[in-house]
Amino acid sequence: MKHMGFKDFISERWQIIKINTVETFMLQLSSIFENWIVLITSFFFVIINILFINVLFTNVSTIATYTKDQMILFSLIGNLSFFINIAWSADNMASLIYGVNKGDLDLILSKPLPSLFYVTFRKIDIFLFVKGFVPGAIAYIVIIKWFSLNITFESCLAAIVIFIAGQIALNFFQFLCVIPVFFRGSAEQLMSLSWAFEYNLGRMIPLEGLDKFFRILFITLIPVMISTGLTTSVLLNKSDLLLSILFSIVVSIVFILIKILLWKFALKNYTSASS
Amino acid sequence: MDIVIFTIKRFVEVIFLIVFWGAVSNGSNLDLKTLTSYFLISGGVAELIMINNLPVGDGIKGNVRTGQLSNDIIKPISIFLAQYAAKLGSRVLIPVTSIIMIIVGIILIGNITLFGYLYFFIALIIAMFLSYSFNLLLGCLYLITTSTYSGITSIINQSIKFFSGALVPIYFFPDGLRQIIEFLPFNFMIYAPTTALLEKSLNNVIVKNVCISLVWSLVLLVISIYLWKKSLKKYEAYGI
Amino acid sequence: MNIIEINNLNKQFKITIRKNWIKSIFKSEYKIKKAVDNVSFTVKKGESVAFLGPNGAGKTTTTKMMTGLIYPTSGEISVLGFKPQDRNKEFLMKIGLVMGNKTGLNWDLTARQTFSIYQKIYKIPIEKYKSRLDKLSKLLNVDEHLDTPVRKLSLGERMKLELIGAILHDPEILFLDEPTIGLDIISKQNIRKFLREIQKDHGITLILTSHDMDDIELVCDRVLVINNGQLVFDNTIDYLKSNYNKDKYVKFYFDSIQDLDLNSYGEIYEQKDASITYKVAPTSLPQLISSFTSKNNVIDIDINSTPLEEMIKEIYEKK
Repeated sequence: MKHMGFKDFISERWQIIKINTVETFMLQLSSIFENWIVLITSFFFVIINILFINVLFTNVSTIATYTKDQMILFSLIGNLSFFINIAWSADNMASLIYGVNKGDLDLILSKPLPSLFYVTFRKIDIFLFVKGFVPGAIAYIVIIKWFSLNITFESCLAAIVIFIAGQIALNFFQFLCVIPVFFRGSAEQLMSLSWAFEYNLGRMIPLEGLDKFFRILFITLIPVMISTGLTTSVLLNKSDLLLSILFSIVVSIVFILIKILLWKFALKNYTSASS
Repeated sequence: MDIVIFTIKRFVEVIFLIVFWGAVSNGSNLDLKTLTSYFLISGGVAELIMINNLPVGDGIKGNVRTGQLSNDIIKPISIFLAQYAAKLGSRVLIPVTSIIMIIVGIILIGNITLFGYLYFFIALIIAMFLSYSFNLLLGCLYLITTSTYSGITSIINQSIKFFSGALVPIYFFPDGLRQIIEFLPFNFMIYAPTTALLEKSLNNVIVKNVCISLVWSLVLLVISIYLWKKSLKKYEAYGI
Repeated sequence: MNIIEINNLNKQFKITIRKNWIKSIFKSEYKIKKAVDNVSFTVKKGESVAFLGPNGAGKTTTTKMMTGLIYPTSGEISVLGFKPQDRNKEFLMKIGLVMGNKTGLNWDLTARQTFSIYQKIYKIPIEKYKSRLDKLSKLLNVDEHLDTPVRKLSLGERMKLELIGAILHDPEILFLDEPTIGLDIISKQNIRKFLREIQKDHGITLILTSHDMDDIELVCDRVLVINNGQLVFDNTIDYLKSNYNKDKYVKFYFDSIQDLDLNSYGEIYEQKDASITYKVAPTSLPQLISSFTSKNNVIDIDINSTPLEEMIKEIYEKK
């Protein structure tokens, strides 16, 4: 086997990302009706979230040390995490289930592509992100009283790094839930379990609202809170910046390594859906 | 195996709600025991009437995608009713967990009158019809968009959860909002059956609620069946 | 020069048996199924080889192992000097795969859009890509369908486009898994003719699986018959036809039987309520038909060549 340089390695993957982004974009343009549904439902959803927080704060003054504005910021980051996740991860993982069951994976595997990378970035739906997230984000930005929040430049940078690491972790967790499809032929329930975690824990309870055991559990074994709870906490200077950065980088590297090993193992056991 | 996972998921969701309300009530004087029983019962109800994640409507998505729907359409059965029945059948154990949740909730409340049970039962049946319509409407959406985007269901779901009282008991809402929500169909699916257990005897509010919910379930049923028939015509049986 | 070498290849599947659902929560029971059982053969460059066998015989599994989709349980495979299961990039650049019942083209995009993605994946020079696409689509008569979303196309049109997609990058070996399954006669013939042409003109090695004898007769020179995972026959198509496909099967349909002595006409292969099938040599075919129709009230006649199952039975018997 010829040795492939680092440059080739990167450029090939960049090509895949480019191709898939364009392909997804072309796909999205074909369904105008759906675009409007996504835009309206997700905007509506943001309004509901803000309403929900408002309703809560008519009954209490702080939730796990978070003030109302901090909670709305948390909700904004949860929303961001959600839409970035579906734009590049959740649907790809869901279609992996389909691909294994229906044999579509065969046709990917028989092409000269880095298969894991290709499967991970099968669809990159920037358009979905724009129509789903942006209108709601405007509402959030208008409503939050920014001057009341303790956000610094350093905490912003740290939050970005942790957020990215959190997305990798989230993708890994979804991958973990999907991989049994290679052995059992189904994984829909597990996939929806991962959704339940992401929705409920990741997006509604601030990290500080959990006791220590759960706090550690949900940023390591079930890493649904890195890109939401931990990010917000760091952004608001409620957690130690350097420690959090270091932690999330280590965690995401470990996840990527495990993912590669699991994929190799899964392909060895791939039986390919019979005709 | 799937059943085990499902039970875990259900468990996680209920625990989450309790933890969440624990975090919320930390800084206030909300009664955690009442809230726990509320969420146990409402969680059980949501699963019983199949409004949680709209499983039947969501199932249509999968069937459109695999082309299975084309196989069903040619059979001399009402497609959606068949889907509904199939989902009921494949979820045998789920009603059992739901009923256990409801029973635990009832024990926590204690002291429920016969009227409470009766009203609960009536409200539950109305809720079932409403939930059927919502499932059907989501099914329509997947027929006409042939969408593969899994986020839409989640968003619709969360909205229904919010307005139906699965996330926040409706009595927490500020007055203006609460009055609006009480006229919408959502709260009759979860909030109404759950709080029905607390009622002691027939009063004007109950009569009013039952009337509104009956009207809603009729209207929604007619609309959703009509839309379903229309969307079936629009459905392109792609694939083979 | 051998481009495919296969030695004592085995593939076993674990099949879960579902008996008791309570038990299945805790523990699954397995049964081992030998999908491919000790198969060995070689293929030379430019050959056109068919795998013939009934459903579930192991032909698709063998193909999947040759393309590196699944790992063999034991045995050696070498395709183009590579181990397919390593899924080496150079190897994948040199093969193409078409599966009759799966779509590689994206449902919602047009074929041209998907092809331009292939162009990038396989790094086909843009000029070469354009001329090749032009030539192939004209040859298969699908140039007007290139810009229609794939989901709106008929199965036949889609298959032709799949085929183009699989050979755009000029592979050395083209694997075809039941490429004509479900197609009408005309589409089948077009595809067969096309396959023969590219094999002859470009020297592509074709590996085809099918349970349709006609596919194989028109496209391939050599046949490997697989049954129950075992290779039972490996020879030229002419040899197979002249030795095993001799007899004709004549099926008469009728309302009622006038002549009760049905045995006198020849060897009865199968008898049902309103039909009877005779197995005869081609030379005595006209005589059988004329004598049978003169004495019985026949509504319809079917003449078939030897069914695949019969042929396999015969192969076993001759061994």
